[in-house]
Amino acid sequence: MKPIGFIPLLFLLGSVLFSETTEMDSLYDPGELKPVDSRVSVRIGEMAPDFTLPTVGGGEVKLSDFRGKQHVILSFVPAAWTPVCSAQWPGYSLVKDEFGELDAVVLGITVDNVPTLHAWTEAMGGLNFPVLSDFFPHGAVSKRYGILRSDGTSERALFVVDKEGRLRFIDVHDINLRPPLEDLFRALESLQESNH
Amino acid sequence: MHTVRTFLPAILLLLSLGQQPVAGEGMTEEGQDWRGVKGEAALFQIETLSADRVVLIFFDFYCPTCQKSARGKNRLADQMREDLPAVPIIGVGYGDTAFETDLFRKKFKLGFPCLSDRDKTFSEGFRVVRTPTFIVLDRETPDSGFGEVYRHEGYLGREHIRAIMEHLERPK
Repeated sequence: MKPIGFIPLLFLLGSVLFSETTEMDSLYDPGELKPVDSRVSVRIGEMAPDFTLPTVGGGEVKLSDFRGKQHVILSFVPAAWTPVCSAQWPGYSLVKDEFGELDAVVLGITVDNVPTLHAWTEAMGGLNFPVLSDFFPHGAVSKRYGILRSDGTSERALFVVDKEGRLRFIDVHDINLRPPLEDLFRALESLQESNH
Repeated sequence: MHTVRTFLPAILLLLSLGQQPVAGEGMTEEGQDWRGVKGEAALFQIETLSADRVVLIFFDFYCPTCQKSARGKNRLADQMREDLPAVPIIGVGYGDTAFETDLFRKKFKLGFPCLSDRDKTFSEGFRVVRTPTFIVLDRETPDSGFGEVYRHEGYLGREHIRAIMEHLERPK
């Protein structure tokens, strides 16, 4: 083996080993928070407010671009580097195929800026769905949906937007708790049923 | 050896409460009989196990390290199936709903029963505060309570599997 080929191999091996042992020990625990600190301003059946936001992967994502193609799960989480949020999105990564079978994609959104989100998602080992920054103007999309909290973070909220762009499921969850995955699947399955 | 005699009722309670999700679903996909436990919930109670050693694996569906450790969990299960067929492994979905626990088991084809511990009561009984956590329980005599003889928190590497096996194979 040529030395030039051996060095990248070592790097690759090192990165695999590192990724297996890296854990998120740098999380900030905000303690128990007021469960909900906003008033949702959208309703089921309404058209979901459109938005365009920058993503961690580069470029921008526009909600209405999914119209006629896929259902969209908007997953707002309050803040990067916090325990419950860090223990929510990796699960959505794990079930990307199952969401795909139900014609749905996840868009993750927080009010953090892109560099912060980049560092955080890397520490989680990467995510396989777009992560969007609602940082500037600060929390504008969260505010439009009525889920911007008084401290400038967003609620832990899930919205399912169907292929027509209508809101079909809203769960502004207790910020201290993780929403059960089955609720999301049930909502997506009901969309499948109503399409048949 | 840290005595967890008091945990025995908790185990019994959880296993009896956990019968529903375990029924059929909790066993190996292919097998109706695993570690001497029939694939029927009514028979899946700890007192029916002849084993005096148990491995508990606490995982969280949403935890990346638990996801990365899944291969190791199956490696451990395979090794135990081969060398220690009488010792059960019980997976516990730490903070997970029954749906999430079962989905994790199916996604990673875990060859052992997994129980949901949504409110973490069971896990807290074992002082579990993070996932994954691997605990080996042992009881000195068939009538004594279980004691913890080994614990590992974090990614399950080959060295940890080796350590678990050493504790399980240790002569009484």
